[in-house]
Amino acid sequence: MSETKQVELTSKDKVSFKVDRDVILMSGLVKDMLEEGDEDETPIIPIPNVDSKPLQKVIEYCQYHHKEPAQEIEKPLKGKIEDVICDWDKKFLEIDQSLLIELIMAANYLNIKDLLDLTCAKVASMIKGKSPEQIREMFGIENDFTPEEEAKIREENKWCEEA
Amino acid sequence: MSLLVSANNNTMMIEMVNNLPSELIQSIIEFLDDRSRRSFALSCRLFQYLAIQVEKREFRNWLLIINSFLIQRMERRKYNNLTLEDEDEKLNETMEVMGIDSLYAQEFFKLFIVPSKHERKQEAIKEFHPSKSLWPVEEWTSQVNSEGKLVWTIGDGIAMCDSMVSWRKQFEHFKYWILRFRKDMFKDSAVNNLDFLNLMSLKSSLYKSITFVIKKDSEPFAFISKEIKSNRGFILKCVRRNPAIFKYLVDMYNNDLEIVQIVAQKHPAVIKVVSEKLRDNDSLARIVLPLDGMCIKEFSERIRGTLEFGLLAVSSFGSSLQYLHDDLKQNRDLVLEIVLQAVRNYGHNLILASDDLKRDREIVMTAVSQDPTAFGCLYKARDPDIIIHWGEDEELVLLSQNITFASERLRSCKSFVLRFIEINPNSFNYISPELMKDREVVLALVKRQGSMLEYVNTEYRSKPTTHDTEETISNRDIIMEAVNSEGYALRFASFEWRNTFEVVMKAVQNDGLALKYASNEMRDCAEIVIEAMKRDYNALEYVSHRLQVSPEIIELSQVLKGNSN
Repeated sequence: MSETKQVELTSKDKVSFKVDRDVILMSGLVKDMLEEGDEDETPIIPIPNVDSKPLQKVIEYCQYHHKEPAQEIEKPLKGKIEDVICDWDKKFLEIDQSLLIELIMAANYLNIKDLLDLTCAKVASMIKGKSPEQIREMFGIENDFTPEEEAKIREENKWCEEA
Repeated sequence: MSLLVSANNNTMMIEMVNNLPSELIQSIIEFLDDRSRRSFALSCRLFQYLAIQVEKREFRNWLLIINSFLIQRMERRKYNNLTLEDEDEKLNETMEVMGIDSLYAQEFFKLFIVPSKHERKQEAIKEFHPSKSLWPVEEWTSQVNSEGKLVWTIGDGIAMCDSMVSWRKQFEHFKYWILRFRKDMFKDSAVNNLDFLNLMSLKSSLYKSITFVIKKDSEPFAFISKEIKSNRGFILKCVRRNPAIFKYLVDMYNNDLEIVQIVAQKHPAVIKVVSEKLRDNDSLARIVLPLDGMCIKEFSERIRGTLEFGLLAVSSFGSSLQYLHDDLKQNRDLVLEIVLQAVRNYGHNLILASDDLKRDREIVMTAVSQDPTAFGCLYKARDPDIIIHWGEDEELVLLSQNITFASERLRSCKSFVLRFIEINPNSFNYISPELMKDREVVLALVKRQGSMLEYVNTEYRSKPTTHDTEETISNRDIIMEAVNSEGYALRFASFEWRNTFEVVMKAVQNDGLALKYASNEMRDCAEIVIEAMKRDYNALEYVSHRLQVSPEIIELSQVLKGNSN
């Protein structure tokens, strides 16, 4: 019986993770690198843009979803994100907000579309239903529109209110 | 990031704005619905810019589809390219197609090239260039129009203006336009495929647009993808707005009680397309049947055989009786109430009752009471004995007010005929010949309606040369009774009677204008003329020429005229 081939991923903060090759092939980036590289026994792949903490979460995601393919999340979100994802994903997303942002960037860098969608949808669900004022407060930004500009945008979007 | 004003508790979000590349923020925006996108875009210029980028991408997808549609038509035209030698008819046909294409294209492009007043004031109006369309650039030609503006043209009629402006609003309007006005465009083309439908399904604003559009027009729903149709919550909302859309949802929701109930309140005939299960549903029957009793024919045997629903149906529409279950129709105790309800509602529903029920006196009496002509329905009974049977029923025939329904025996029965004449004098012509000559009957007839004298045997209308003392009721009695009832009856009396002072006097006392039918002698009789004129001033017209110029009559006419003024 042959052993499962593994890949060693090295994070930005120099932490190594050994992961099954089949699992990490969910990453488009890693897949491309493995196709280009030699057939080493355990190839070492540096992931210089991702810290160990989010990388560990990425691996966790891949380990689960390479067997249980994630369901596509419909755009736009209808209702809460919790209504459209599986229980495992719900638990997976119970993380602090900064890690969530890091995960978005990691998923983007590693080219894992399902994870990117999941994390982006999570952030979208946090924005959803909020007023412009609440969004400004949430992001710590100030209103840089002139009153005329703001009135014009509101007018253009009037149909949205009517529908 | 300059937009940051201060650190606060939302460090994560601030970090997001600082660190996330704009394309990732756009990925987040893609998950936002229209309303949230609007709020997001209203937050600050950066977010507005990013939201617009997302919509631009979506807009490009639409552009791709529209262009593919137009190109397809253009290619078809090229393929069928007709030379001048071809038949004019074919050429015209082709031009007609192209004309429509041109219209579509112009309408489409117009949506994002015509600047608003506000936008005209802005300096940054981008020039239109064919490269901005997905149409091959080499297909375009340019020329300067009379206003000195550069105009790009393509094909036989598609012309582009010179500027391309803010398209965001137009994008929404474009989708609205497609749904509202140009839906036919997709009916038989290859564009009416998954690409189009997916786009209809996935883009957030479509949901809003659809609910907006279908308020008045259900047809755009013909193009809605299965994906949207399967969103029950959305469909429920749409059906509430316009139940007529259900015709496009039959396959998916014909077993959905809540939705069907909403539709049924406006369109009870929806029962024709719902599932067998719902056709057996009591609550649905309670909604549908009071609105349209005839719909009971679409319900299950059980519903059609239930007294409650039978009553609802016939109360709403009596003729629905024919669709009730046979068992219900045969069970006299149960059906009696239904049939009674049916005939109460419309007497002619008697025609729908079984022969057994047509023998039921209460049912027949109720029907004929509601509408006397319903008696005629009994002729439609399979069993001819039924009409014979009821033709013997005095009370029923009297109710029908039509003696022709009576049997021969009744029409020869003096007491019955006398009663009938009181109800309907015109029946005189249908009574037995013997009774038509019966002086008592004739007297009763003219007493009830003097003008019926017209139909009385001429023998009775004439004045005997000798006194007809042998008769209990003399011709005189008949004539006097007739003119007493209606002065006009004098018209049908013989000349001798019309020349008899007593008769004419009685007639003009009833109706001054009866003077018209009096003999010349009587019309020259001052006593009669005065009586007639007192009754009706217009009788002066029939007064003899001699009397018309007599001082007495002139004076009277002036007095009467003065009184009438």
